[in-house]
Parts: sequence; C-alpha cells; structure tokens
Amino acid sequence: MSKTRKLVYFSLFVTLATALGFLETLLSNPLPLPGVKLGLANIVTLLVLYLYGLKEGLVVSLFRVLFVSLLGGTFLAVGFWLSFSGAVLSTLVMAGLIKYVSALSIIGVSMAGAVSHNVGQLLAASFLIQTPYIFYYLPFLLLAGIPTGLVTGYLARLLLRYFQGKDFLIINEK
Amino acid sequence: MTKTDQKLLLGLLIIGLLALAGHRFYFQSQTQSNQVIIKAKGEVVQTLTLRAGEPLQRLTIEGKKGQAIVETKGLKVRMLEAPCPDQICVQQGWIDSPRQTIICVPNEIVIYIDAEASLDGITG
Amino acid sequence: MKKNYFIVLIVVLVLVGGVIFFGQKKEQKLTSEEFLMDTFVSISTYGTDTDFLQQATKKAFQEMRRIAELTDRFSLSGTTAAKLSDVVRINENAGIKPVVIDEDVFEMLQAAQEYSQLTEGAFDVTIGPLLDLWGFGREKQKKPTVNELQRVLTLVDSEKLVLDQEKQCAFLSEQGMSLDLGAVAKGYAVERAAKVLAEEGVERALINAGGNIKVIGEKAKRQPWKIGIQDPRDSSALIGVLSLEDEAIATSGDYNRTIEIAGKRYHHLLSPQTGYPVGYNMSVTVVTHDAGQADLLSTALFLLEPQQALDLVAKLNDTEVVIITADKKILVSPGLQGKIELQARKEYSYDQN
Repeated sequence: MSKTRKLVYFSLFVTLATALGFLETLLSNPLPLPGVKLGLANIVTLLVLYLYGLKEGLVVSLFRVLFVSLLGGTFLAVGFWLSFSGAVLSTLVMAGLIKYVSALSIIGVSMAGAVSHNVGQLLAASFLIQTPYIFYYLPFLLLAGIPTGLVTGYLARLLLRYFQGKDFLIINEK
Repeated sequence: MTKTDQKLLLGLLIIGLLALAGHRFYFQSQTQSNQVIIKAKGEVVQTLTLRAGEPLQRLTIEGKKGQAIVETKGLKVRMLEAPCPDQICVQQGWIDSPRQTIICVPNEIVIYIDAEASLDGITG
Repeated sequence: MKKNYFIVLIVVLVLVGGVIFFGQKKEQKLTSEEFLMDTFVSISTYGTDTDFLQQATKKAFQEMRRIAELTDRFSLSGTTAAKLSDVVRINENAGIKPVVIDEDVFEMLQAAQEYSQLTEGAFDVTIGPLLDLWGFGREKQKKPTVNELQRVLTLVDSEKLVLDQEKQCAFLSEQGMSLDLGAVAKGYAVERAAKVLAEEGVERALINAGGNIKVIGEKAKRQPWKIGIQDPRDSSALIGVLSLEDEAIATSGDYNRTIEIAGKRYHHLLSPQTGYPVGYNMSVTVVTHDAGQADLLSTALFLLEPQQALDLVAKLNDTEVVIITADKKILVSPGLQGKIELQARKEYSYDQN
C-alpha cells in the first residue's frame, strides 16, 4: 500500500472516529454515570486494529480523543485525561486479545475493550479527582461496559465483513 | 459469538455482579449526621454537617465551567443545577450514605459524604 | 442446544443482578423519640421490615417508661406516680420500714452499693438530701451553709441502705435519708430497652438517652457505629470518635445539669464527703458492654481523682475510659488506645500513659 493511500485511509478513519465521538458528546447519556457511553467511536478503533494493527489503532484512537476534546473545548481538562486513559487502556487490551486470544471474535474483543475503557477512566479519575470513594462507580462501569461492548461489537462485525469484501484494504483478520 | 466470547461475557457479568453486591453493602447505610464535602477544581470549598430533619438549603459552587447549585435536605445532598453539557451529576439525584459520591467531570466538582466524620451518636 | 443453554444462563444472571440491585429490600431505618427521664430518648432500629421494627421499638419504649416510673424521685406524695415509684416509696419510708421493690430497682441498688464500696464512698446513691439542699431538680437553688452541710452529710451513707435479697426489700435506716438514682436509672433503662429489642430479634439498633448510648450489633456489615465524645467546653466540638459494636457508652460531665448561684456555676456531681461539686475532671466517658454499668461508672469515676479512676478501671473487666481532666489532659485507658480517633482542640493535651 502506498504511503499516500495509507495517509488518506488513516485520515478518513480518524475523521470518522472523531465525528462519532463528537456526536456522542452531544447525545444525552444513556445512564447517569460519568464515562458511560455507547462508544460508537470504538467501532473505528476496532476496525483499524483488525485491518492494520496495534500501532495504527493507537494512533487513530488518540487522534480521535484529541480532536473530540478540541471540538468540545475540554482539551487538557480532567475529562480529556479520563478519555485519554480509557482509550489507551482499551486499545492495548483489544490489540492484545486480537493477537494472543484468537478464540475471541470481534464481539468478545469489543466487550473487553468497552469494559477496559470504563475501568481505565476510573483509574485515571482515582488519580485526578481527589475523592476517597471513586470506586463507588466501579460496579456500574463494569456492568455498563458489557451491553455497550456487545452493541459496538456487532456493528463493527458488520462493517468488517463489508470491508473484507473490498480488495483495496489490507486485511489481517484470521 | 464464539464460545470464548461467551465465557468472557459470563466472566465479566459475574465480576460485575459481585462488585455490585459488595457495593450494596459498602455504600448503603444510615447515619445520624452526614459530613458532606464539596470540592471544586481539586480544592475543598465546603464542608457541611447534615442532620436528620434539616430544612432545604441551597449553595452556589463555582466550578470550572460556571456556577453549580447544590441542594441539601435532611441528610441528603444533590446537584440541583450544573452548567455541564452532559448533566450526569444532576441526573444522579440524591445521595445520603457515607462514601456515596457525585462527580461532575466537566465542571470539576466532587461531592461526597465522608464516612469517617459521619456520626451515629454523640455522648456527653 | 448449547446456544440456548448459554442464553438461559445469561438471562438468569441478569435476573440475579436485577434482584440484587432492585429487588433486594432496601434496609430501612426507623427512629423514634420520646421524652423520658428528663431527656430525649431515641431508638433507631435497622432492618427490612418496618412494621416489625415499629413493634419492637414500641415494646422497648414501654420497658423504658416502666423503669422511669419506678425510679422517679420527684413525684408528689400521694399521687399515682408516687405510688408507682419504688424510689419514692423507699424515701417516704426512710427510718420507718423496709419496702418490697421491683427486681430491676433492687438490681440497680445492689450495683450502686457495690460501686460505693469500690470507690470508697465517693459514689453514693443516698445523695438525695444533699442534692435537695443545693436545690438540684428543684425550683430554688442556694449555696448551703457549713452547718447545713454537716447536718445533711450524715444522711448520705450507702451503708445505711439495707438490702434484703430474699424478701427483695430496701430500707433506708435513718429518717431524712433519700435515694437518687439519677446516675443509674437512665443507663439501666437503656440496657433494658436493648434487651427487649434483642429478644424481639432486632439485630442492629442504637439507643440514645441523652448520651447514654447502647449499640446492638454492627451498623452494617463490617461497619461499626461511630460515636463522638463531646468537648466539655465547646458543645459543637468533639474530643474524639469511637467505633463501637455491641457496646454501651456513657459520659458524665461537669457541664451537664448545672445550677447558677450568685453568678457562679455548680454541677450536680457532688462529693458525699465535702458536699461540694467534685472538680478533678471535666468529663469521664466509659465504654463497656452494659449500658447501666456505663452510666453508673461514668459518674463513679468522675468523682475520683484521674489516677484513682484509671486504677479502678484496670481492675474491671471489659471496661474502658476516656477522662478529660480539669487541667485539660486527655487520658485514655490502654484498651482504647488506637481505637479512638482523637480530634480535640489544641488546648487539650493527650497524655499517653
């Protein structure tokens, strides 16, 4: 794949992720819990992880966090660091599972990603937000990650099948 | 879904439910007085001692995005109004037990009930 | 087939989760208050069935009212209340004849007598004439003269209280003597109420009769009850906080029940030897298992010098004490060290002995 081509695809993926991520900040939250989102942008991260790999996935999700925060005016605020930590942890976990646990399908990977995203945010919050009882939210964030991960996983699978039929992309899926 | 997916789902569900059960024990209790601590932008800006039957009381707290209104009534406290876009803190409603916490991430306000300082009785 | 199995399992787990979160009867707290024995008595019970808690609380209050009636010293002679009060009957028959009394009152008097001996007379339930002389609990207060004190102090003597175990009789052998169970009855009533609640099957409760507190069980799983000790000189401040579980706590302080005579304050914890308020301590808080014992001991220890009090506590089983001395030292008995979170104002000093 030529460099230019790659750059174009990348830009498209980052734009798509940013659009989805920003869209979600505008929608009202499904649950009154900080950090719980459907995680539509995670669909893009998943696709990139499957189509390219860890490095590319990290780049796309970090650019997405950066752009969404710039759009929302939360750059370098507490909320930004929470999203950042969630994105890094979930991308690492998903990439690890894709590489080492081949028995998991994209749905399982998505679920693990959603849960680790929520946990990652909470871990960051425990450093950034000084309250002794931050883990008050833990069970809800754990449980909320399951259905949101399932939904984004199914959506990602649909898209992945579509892309797999196209020959202009390099496919690594097993 | 593969079998491994299913195992993962089950595993996560069980961990989540166990955490939830623990949560019920840890974060639900009743007190005679609640020590409410309100932090804004990382600093403690208010500490309130709430006792049962106390009348409604409203406080304005300056957060990162603007003024939020915190309301207390008896032993309970809630975020009544906040300038944040997601309104999660407002939707969360009342908290009334030690360790319960309301966090408003965009406005950087934290409200929690301190377990150490909330007393069941006073002798003297 | 396998897939169905899995779906069933998920559904079951989600239902279990739902039951844990929504279905689980939320633990309720029921608090009732009544004015008894010159103070507000509150009983808080915890459980899932409020009707049951209400019934148990009602019975506990009934028992407390019964003790209150038996021990009230100020009912007017001839009224029904006076006839109901064992203390009034004993006092009216002082120097005349022994009277048969309720077994609870008998038990209180026995305990009181025991502690009179243990404190070598510093604690005395026959203190009635002295309290009356000063005017505690009466309309008019005055500072007694030396002659008056001399006359009245001969009437304060626990050894002249004759208890007959077999007949369950009590007799004050000299005319003019009188009992005052102010240091005993509240705690005893709290203990009785706790027994009633426990018999009814209440597992978690707190009874508070003006600072005489008894807790039943833990407040919640692995969560003790937190009780603050009031600062004797600032009613909004605390000396420290104790974590209790199945225990009782009581405090006697020089700031409670005071009278003012010619601009000077006097408290009600009087010495049977001098006839004056005892000034060694500002407050004494006792933690033990029995609320009656806690109440009685907090008064008895208050009347002793701090070191004497600590020595006595060391001899008693499962009894701990926090003493705030007149010179603002905080003394904590060894069993409580590390268990009390001190948060006293700077003017107090903590003496680690």
